[in-house]
Amino acid sequence: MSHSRASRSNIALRALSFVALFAIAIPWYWRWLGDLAYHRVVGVPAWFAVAVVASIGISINAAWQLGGSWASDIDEAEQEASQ
Amino acid sequence: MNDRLIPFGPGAQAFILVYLFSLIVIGAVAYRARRDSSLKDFYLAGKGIGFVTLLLTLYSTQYSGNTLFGFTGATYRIGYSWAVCIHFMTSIVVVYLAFAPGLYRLAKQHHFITPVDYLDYRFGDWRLSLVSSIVMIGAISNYLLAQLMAMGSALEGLTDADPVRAYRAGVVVLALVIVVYESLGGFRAVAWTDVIQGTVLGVGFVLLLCAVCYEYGSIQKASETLLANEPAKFKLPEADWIRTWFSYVLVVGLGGALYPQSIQRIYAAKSAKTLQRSLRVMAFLPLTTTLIAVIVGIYGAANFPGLTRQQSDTILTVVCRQIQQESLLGYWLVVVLFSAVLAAIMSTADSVLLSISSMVTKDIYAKHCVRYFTKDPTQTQLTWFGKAFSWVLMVSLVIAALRLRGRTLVELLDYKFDLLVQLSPAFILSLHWRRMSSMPTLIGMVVGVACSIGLAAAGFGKVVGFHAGLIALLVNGAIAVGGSLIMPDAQHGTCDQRPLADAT
Repeated sequence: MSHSRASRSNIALRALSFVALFAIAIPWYWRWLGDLAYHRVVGVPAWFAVAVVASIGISINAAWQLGGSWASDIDEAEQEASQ
Repeated sequence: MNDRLIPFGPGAQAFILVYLFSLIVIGAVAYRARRDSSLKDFYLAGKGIGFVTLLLTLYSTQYSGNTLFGFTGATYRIGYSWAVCIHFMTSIVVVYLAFAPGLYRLAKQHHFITPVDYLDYRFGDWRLSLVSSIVMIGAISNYLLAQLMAMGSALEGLTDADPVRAYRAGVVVLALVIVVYESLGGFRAVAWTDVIQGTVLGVGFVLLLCAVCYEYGSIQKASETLLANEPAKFKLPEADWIRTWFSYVLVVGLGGALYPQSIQRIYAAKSAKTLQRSLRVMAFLPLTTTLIAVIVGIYGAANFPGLTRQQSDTILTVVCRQIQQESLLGYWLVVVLFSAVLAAIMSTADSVLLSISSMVTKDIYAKHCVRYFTKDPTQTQLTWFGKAFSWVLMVSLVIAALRLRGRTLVELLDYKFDLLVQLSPAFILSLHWRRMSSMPTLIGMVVGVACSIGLAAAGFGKVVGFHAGLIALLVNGAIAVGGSLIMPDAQHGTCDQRPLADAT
């Protein structure tokens, strides 16, 4: 697999991880789960609790992806350019 | 239902005055810290800002007074379904992932100051740059007006004085404070005052959560009351709202990330690591901000049922009044909360003002108008023009805010994201796709903006649950992509030959 193809599939996987998390976060599927949606989780309806937990997942995923190597790459490029 | 706070006493008023005075002092310190009179120093603080300053200026710029009042009010009206606000604020950071690293690299290499400097570099087409500037300025100008009106309304609810005079005083005095410290210190002053404002805002949200939990008991109790009295606010959203939920995530995610003032903060980061660390923290801030606004709205709906739509936007004030009445501690808690409200409004207003000033000065005046006045303007002359323009704009908007007292601009504000998303092909797609060409991008943008405004004007602000701006973006994107495939630019703009977004 070429470098660019690997990079493209990596970007696609990253994008898909967000699509999956938003799909869990947005409560479109709860209507098929009956009264489970209204069970209380720490005092709030389960569907809202899952929306919040999935949102935490999105934040963690974003923070993790932001922790990639791009920052050091750019800084190195800047240093090289300034030299 | 009394939706006004108990008027602040001399101690609390002194606290607010000290806070406002400290902003002017920061402006003066920032003025002394300037390196030169260049546009880059005035609009981006020269070599840039560090982690804490960048984080807090991004935070206080992204979260306005609307987060406190608008989001608690919306939760009051529709209940738990307003959890959409947590998702759309998080989606802004997700969208940053798609373009901030690449844009930052180019900004540092080519010394960008305004957002459309990137478009100049990428496409080299003055028409595309000019239209983009106009769309951005149009989208955020009424946002600035709304912040000025919110300042007046905030002070109006605080004194025993005649409401009209209190409103006028609030608009004029706070606008004057903003324009003074901004003219003195430019971006440096705005970012430093944002540090105070962001801190007060963050502390305010945490105190607000503690206060409502203490005052009204557990969230379980509020949920049970809500289920018993207004079950619709507890239950799952309808199918139409689910579509709007998806739409919000896309429209606010793309539009919020393309706020010109936010793009300039990406440029202003001292290093890529600074930007990286700030965005990593920003990813979690919806949980400490919008989630708290939703919880407070739920407490409000459970404990103060029966407010009209207009009254529901003041639910935060209703809650605060009760906290104020309980004890001296509650009273001072509300003083800090009110300072947080002021901080949220002012920090958004100052950032928007500076951003508009920079775009008018550099993208419109310096490129298209200055040749009629002088042959070769110096950086100092342009900087002075920017400062003068800030004053003229502020005076105009203050007059408008005074005349519009009592009116709501909520619908206009909703449309700003519909307009800003039309910029996403030009800013985001073009970073990743070298073949994208200028003319189709320009035509797509113009058609997208026209579609968005046309649909909204015809009463179709949402089409089967989806925002008009999103529908328009589909047309815009199809023209930009299809046109670029059919008629690519001969030279692919003025870029070097590396993939633009290789740093991502």
